[in-house]
Amino acid sequence: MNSVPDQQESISFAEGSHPTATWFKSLAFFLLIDAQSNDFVPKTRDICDWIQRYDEWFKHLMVADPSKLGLSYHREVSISDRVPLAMADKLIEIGLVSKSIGLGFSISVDLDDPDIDNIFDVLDSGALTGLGILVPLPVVMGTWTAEERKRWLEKLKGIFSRQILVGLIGSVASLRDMGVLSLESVNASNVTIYPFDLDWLTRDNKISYSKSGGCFSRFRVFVDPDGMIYPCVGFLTAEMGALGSIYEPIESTVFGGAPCKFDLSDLAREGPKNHQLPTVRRAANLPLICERHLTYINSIPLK
Amino acid sequence: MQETSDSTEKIASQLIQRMSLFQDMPLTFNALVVEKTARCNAQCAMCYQSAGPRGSDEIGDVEIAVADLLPVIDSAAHDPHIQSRLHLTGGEAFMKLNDCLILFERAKAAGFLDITSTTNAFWAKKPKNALAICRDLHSAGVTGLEVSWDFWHKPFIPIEAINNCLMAAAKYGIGVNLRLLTTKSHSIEEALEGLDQNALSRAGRISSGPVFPNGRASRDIDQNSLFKSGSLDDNCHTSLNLTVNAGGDVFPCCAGLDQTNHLRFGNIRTSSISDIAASMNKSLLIRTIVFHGISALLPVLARAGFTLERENYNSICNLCWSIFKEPEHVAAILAHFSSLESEAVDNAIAVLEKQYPSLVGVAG
Repeated sequence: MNSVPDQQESISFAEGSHPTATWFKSLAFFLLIDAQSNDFVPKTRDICDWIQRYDEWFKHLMVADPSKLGLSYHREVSISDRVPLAMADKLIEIGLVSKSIGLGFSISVDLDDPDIDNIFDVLDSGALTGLGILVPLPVVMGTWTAEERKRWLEKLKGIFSRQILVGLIGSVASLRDMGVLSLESVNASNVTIYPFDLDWLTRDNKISYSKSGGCFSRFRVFVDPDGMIYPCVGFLTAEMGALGSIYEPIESTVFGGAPCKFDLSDLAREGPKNHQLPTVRRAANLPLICERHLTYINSIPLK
Repeated sequence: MQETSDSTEKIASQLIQRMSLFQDMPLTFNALVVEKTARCNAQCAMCYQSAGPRGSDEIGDVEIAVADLLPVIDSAAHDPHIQSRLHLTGGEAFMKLNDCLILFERAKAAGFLDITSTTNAFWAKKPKNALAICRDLHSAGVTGLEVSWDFWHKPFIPIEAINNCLMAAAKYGIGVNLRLLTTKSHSIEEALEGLDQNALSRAGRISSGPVFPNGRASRDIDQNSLFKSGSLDDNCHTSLNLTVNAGGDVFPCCAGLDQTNHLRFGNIRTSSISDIAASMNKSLLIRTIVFHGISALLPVLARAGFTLERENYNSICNLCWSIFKEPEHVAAILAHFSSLESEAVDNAIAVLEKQYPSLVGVAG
């Protein structure tokens, strides 16, 4: 099994860094649950160690060139997709480690989670800087009883009363149907909605999309459950898209100067454009632009 | 008692942190923002820029020529204190679409990685036009559009334009952030009413926030309908954008200070953007505002005889604009910071004289 390098080992900064390394300010984890050990996969300890090692390495890049100090702004750790709130203590641990080194911490939750009340412990811990709320599709909400709808809304209001940055991820139709967009607490807040519905995965099959733009604004260090790291969510689990692993020294990854199988700068500016890149869906709920890229790449005849 | 102690500890900790940033942190800008024109085809009541068909109620009918902006873009693209984003806005910059395309292309060639623009999408009334323009925007390097839409835009912009814009931008892979503003009387729900669900699901984001009563909104919006937003003791050093307003004057943000006339840092027609940014970075006044927060100026104004009641302001941006739109406030603040700088020089000389008495009189 993988093991994390000893934290006491010093990082060798002499190895250099990839020219685009400073574009990867934030970290995003896709996690699985290991019910036996009651922990995440990767383990919470490994996640926290990697966050600290990566941060130390990134800060070295900034300190080496004071003009890069501004890169310290808007850095965060996020747990992508829904997180199980039964693991609230683990989330708090990751959040507090992130916060202790100046990084924001955000998670996405489902208000239907049986342990949803634990979110208030997470909020009270001060570990969170942002919270995503996953909004069910209308077909799901349509099956709810009046009592279930009321309960969902009360949870939502409770979260909005906590003065935290909230993102609503899902169907705008559901939000409207539930009356969320008329609530005073929602309208009084700075809130971002990330529209998503199942239809847009299929409705445009007959439309030939033009090539989409670059991926720069979506660059993060994405970490999958195997601990592999990727530049973009669209690359998750595609072996050729991996930049390294959290279980190896950062100097051995692409960030530390190891060769990359594709041109990261080109990906940032132009988006994926050749057949070396993943052409199949690697994750559900991809951002729209990733769907565009997949559609575009699949539309190019193979030579 | 314990609560009071915790609170005092928190305030002390915040003060130490802010002092450290104030002393050492360079100003960093999230983007170069260019407000190309003060003109807008709409004239919304909540517009903090007070823009309209005859320009701005506050800074006049002003516009920057493309030729003046090209060197600004080239220079900013290589300034390490400005992140790699160009954001073009107005007024309504797309009223001169060709100018916009030239600027976007220049930004792409200069190396900007994120090229975005704010528009009310008036140009997308017909699907064919929307597609053609989004194709051109995509070719010119535009990565995202912020489309302004809410209750106040509805009298000026047909709803089909928003639908068409969302559809066409999606086709060309241009991310759209639909930007809404709210009051107690006008909600997100009201803004989205009538928009096509199919088009709406193509927006990458829908961002909403409370109106702050700057510019025209200070006169034309019922002040009782406004929400409070954040604490007046917040600071803003993480939200700065190096902003060229439609008069060519440069400011550290695009949230209200850029729409004032009495505090000048430099104009792109007479100074380089990097020199202006560097002088801002050295400014005691600007560093106080962005790291300690705009409320740090309230005691300064109070000592000069201007008492501003906190409950009259709904956000730090509203307080900042309200302070700097008044010439007598600006004069009092500048006098204060000027005396602080003189005092600092006098103190430094006194220390030097004490430590190196043999040098006394040499410089004079």
